Amino acid sequence: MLRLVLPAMSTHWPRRCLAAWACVASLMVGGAQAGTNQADPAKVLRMAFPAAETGFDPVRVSDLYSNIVNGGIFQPLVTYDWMARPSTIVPDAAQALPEISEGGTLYTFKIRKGLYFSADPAFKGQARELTAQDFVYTLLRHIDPKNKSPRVADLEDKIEGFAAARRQAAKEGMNYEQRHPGIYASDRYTLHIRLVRADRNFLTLLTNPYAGGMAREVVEAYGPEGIMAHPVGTGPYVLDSWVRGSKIKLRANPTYPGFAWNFKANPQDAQDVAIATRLQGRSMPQIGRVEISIIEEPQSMWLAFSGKEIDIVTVPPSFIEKALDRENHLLPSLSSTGVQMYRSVEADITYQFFNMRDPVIGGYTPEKIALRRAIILGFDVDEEIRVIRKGQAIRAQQMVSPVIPGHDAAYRSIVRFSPLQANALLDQFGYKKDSHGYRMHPDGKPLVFTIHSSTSSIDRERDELWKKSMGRLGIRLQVKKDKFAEMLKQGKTCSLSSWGLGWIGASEAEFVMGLLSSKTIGQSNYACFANAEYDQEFERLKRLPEGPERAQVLRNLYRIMEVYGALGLSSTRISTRLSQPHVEGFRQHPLVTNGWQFMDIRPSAGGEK
Amino acid sequence: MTLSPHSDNPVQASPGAWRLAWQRFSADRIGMWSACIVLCFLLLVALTAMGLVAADWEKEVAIGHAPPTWATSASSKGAGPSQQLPDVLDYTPSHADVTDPIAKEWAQAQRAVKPAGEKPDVLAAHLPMGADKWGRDVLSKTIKGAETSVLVGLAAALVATVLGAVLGAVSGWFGGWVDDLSNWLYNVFHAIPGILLILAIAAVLDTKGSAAVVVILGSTSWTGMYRLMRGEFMKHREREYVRAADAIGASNMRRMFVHILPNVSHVILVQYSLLTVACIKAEVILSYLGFGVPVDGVSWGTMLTEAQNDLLVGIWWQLLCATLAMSLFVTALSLLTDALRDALDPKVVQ
Amino acid sequence: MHAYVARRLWQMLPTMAGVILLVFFLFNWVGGDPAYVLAGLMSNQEQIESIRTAMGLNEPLYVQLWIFVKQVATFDFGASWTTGESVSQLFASRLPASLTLMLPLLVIETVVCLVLAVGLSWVRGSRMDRGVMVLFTLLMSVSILVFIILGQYLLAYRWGLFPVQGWGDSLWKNLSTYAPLPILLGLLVGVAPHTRLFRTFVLDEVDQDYVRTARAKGLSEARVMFVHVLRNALIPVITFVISNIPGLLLGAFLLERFFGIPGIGREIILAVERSDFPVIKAVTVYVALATMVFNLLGDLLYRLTDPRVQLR
Repeated sequence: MLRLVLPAMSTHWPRRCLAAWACVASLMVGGAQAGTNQADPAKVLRMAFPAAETGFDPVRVSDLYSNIVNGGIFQPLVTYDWMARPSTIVPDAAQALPEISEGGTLYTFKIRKGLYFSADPAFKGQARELTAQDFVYTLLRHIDPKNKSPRVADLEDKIEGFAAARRQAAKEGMNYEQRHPGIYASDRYTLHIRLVRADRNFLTLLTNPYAGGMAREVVEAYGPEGIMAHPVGTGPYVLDSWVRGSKIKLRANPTYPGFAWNFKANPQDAQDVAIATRLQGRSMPQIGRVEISIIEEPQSMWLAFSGKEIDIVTVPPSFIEKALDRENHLLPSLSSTGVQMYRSVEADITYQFFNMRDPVIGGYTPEKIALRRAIILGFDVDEEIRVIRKGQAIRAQQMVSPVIPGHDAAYRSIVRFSPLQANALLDQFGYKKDSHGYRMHPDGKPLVFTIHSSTSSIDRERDELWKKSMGRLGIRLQVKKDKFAEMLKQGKTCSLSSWGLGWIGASEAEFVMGLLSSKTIGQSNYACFANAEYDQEFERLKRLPEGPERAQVLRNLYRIMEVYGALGLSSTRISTRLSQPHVEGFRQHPLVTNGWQFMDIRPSAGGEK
Repeated sequence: MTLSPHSDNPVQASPGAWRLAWQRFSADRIGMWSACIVLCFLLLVALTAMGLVAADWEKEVAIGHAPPTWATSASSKGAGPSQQLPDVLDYTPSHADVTDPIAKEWAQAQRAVKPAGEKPDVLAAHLPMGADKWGRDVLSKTIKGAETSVLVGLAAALVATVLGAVLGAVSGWFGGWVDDLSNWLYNVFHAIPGILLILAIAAVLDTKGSAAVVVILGSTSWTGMYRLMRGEFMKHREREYVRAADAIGASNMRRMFVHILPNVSHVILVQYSLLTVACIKAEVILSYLGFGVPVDGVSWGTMLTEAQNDLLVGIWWQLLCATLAMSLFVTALSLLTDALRDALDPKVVQ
Repeated sequence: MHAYVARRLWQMLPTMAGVILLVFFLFNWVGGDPAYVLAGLMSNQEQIESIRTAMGLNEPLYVQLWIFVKQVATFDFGASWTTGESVSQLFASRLPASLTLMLPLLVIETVVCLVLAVGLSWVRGSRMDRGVMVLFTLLMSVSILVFIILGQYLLAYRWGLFPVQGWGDSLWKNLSTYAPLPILLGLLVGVAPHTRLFRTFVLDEVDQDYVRTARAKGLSEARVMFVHVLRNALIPVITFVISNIPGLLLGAFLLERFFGIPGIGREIILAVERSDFPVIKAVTVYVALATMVFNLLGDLLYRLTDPRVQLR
């Protein structure tokens, strides 16, 4: 059973963009009259999630699926251009990209006029316009310890006064009346955000649903638990009904202003060119209703799509042979019926971390470095990709996925699968074999390498591969099965020796490289890696603009990770998404959670329900 | 067995209950066949445990998902649509301003050469019952899986039997507050449906693997045995032969375990057999939920779980093999239990 | 009769106390630190500490036990750790789906199995009887997992007779479209063990004197079996069925999981996977209570309908 595609995936969504310069050429999501929504209620998009959602308060939830829904309901200040490559930030609720002043520390946004929240009893019958204060409120909610915001560490790092306010709120309770030095509204439509230091990636944080505008009356009317079930936003869709863990229904928000579909495709990408040609100029949004089922079993998910019960699907890896042939082309049995395919590389990375504080494999001495490097050399990533991921992944040379800004396509790692080299390295450092053929520590003590994994079926497959890999090196392997929460706990206290994780949705290299910063030990740095050189380079990474110097810094960071063996990189997924013939314009942006307002359904081909 | 009027000793000892049972049992053809099959399995399990059979079950001997030799029409697709990965053409490591603490040894390791004469492994294209995704022989896995599943089933049933029998015996014999306490314990465990208790315990247990499965299943299945034993001991307590033993001064322990126990052992045996069947089936469910045996081992449950998605892509051999093996053993054991019960307790009419 | 009921209710109290103790012991002692479950992948120590205080985990054990007892008494188990949904709300919303699946299954299965059982008892000892019993044993040896996998593949996917999975909004749609396949599979899995059990009930009746009397009076075998014996065998059968209802709701969790039915069984699996203790604790306590109540109902029914049994 595959709950999530990656083993124990973290769904961290810091979002940053690389090209602030591209804002000049930004493609406006063209405005039209407020309150006219072209969406046709007869057009229903049926889809499914492979894992259950948790709730719809964007400040509190961190899982991918809840955020897909939140992405359709809440409207952030800025978003990504739907088609541009590389990813380009464009204004959404803001009129234009912000004015940046005071040495890059003050961001001033002007909110678009005429954006209204969807109707809700908390508004007492009045139309409620989106104001700058709503964005202040949303961001301030992250400070409130009651909300247990998973993003607060990122925001604290960037926004002035956030950390101090959080400590105060922990002691005295949250005070929303108090004017906050880091984020405030100077008038109804003007928003100011003051940063701790000039930051090239701050804007990417604001593209997330957790920075979308929320109305304070609504949150206070429904209370902390109720708000999870009553999301009210200014986005293109509204939550219609919700059967927890089973069915989510949304409909088009009548107060959302429509726009004309106007995006330029990358001419090298045939899929995108076809979509752009099809949809150019159309009034959007067109899809009037979205129905999401929760289907956990991959078999049920695949059968639901092939039985035409759902309109779009991300093909579960175990069933990829039903969709693709040897060359990764859509099978004729599907393409002849008009099923469309969208293949794309995901913004993720899977890796195995090695705890630097572990008594067996941790440490910065040459023997331990050699041991970790040998272990990483011994793991056959290609076989993992071939057998476990059915060829639907790319071997990772660096921590940053090819679709995340900061990726260096020319970079090559020093680590490459070679049991031969691994064994040679271990032999040189005195890891002799005992009478059973298992290696011992140089001082003669028995060596047992422990990895932890969850009880999911994909983790079980990886365990089998680890067994084989370590067998080739003569390293005794022990697999400890644990509950996810237990592993979290041990990981945060640096007592977990090794675990396979994934990091998804980081929108800029900075947010991936933070995994090994000593500042995040106890949070996401489960390798508990603390290296002065790395930290120094990491700080430089945060400040440097685009250019050869930054590229060099990234290469150094990658190399430090490889040299010390903090992480053993596996792969980046390639997703294959299929859509029924009557769905038009289905594609996926690597950093945007959903794009229902950019797609259409052709009713004559049987799209109505 | 007839009494001959000319026998030397006109008063002959009546044949023991077990003897009679054996006679009845041996007349039951289905029972005999089932016993044979069960014994064969147990023998196989013993051989496997000793490493004489299926010791190489983990070796990859075939292409992934190789079909069975007798089903060559099944296409051998290998694993996944693309066999050739898009590979980087130039693999020279990039330059970076970072010093490697083990640079010298690393350079030396890179010069390591493959020893001459090493032949690459030849992978089979077909196996008697096909191969799993890693290329391991499904037949060997099934046999090894039999060892795990059967032993786990037997062990879990044993734990439940010991728990239930001891508690039931003590409770039925002594009565009084011991009985009340045991009854209370029984009611508590009985009130919670088995599967829920299993899930609850599985949710909190930190360790996983065979031992955990045995503990989980053993600690939740003892109630039936308890009730039976309690009833039996209460019944026998009043019997003449026990009174007689009491009259000659036999201690409690002696009366319980030397006198009564042999007379209720047939009940225990039948119940134990039933429990084993239940535990083997429960192990499959636990494996599906992820609480099964770890990767170093294989059980029928893990095989079924692995195979569930394969059916849709046309890979049916692992599902078939595990299901057949488990079905054969469980059916045989169940029929054997029925025959045993009929033989040991003639009051039960067929 | 009232005295009997009162006594039985009174006897339930120590059992409930035992269940509460067992659940508490399992989850609050053995269960490990739940603060990390709530905290999530990206939390830091501060957040975790505040969660622990909020949950009362820093209190001594007996205080926590008292809190738990109060929760049980007031039927308030708080909220799910993962979704924040109140547990009672969770029950209320999932119960209809589970019932929609289980009640028809229960009725159909009982009728089918009882008729089969009577029929088999009629031909008791014959080749057909033995043959069917062996067939049943064979059926029972196949795991429910295999039934579901094969059933979904053949009946839904290959032959298109049923939808592969799903659940609708209206009761009628659910009963007519989505429930039939899971019910069919549930029936296949349950027919063997239940028929065997009912058969023993029927056989108990068949040996009674009144049956011989009826035969002696010249009644046809069919009438004897299907009118008199059946009527009397109904009593233990219905008693068994009623006592079994709480267990059935849970037992369908595999069906609910594979077919995407939002019922209680599926919730429990999710809760176990996510270490969502409030849900598991609440379900365990509620179901134990329901089991005891239904047992009592079954017993009462038995004693009321069977004139041979005295109510002590």
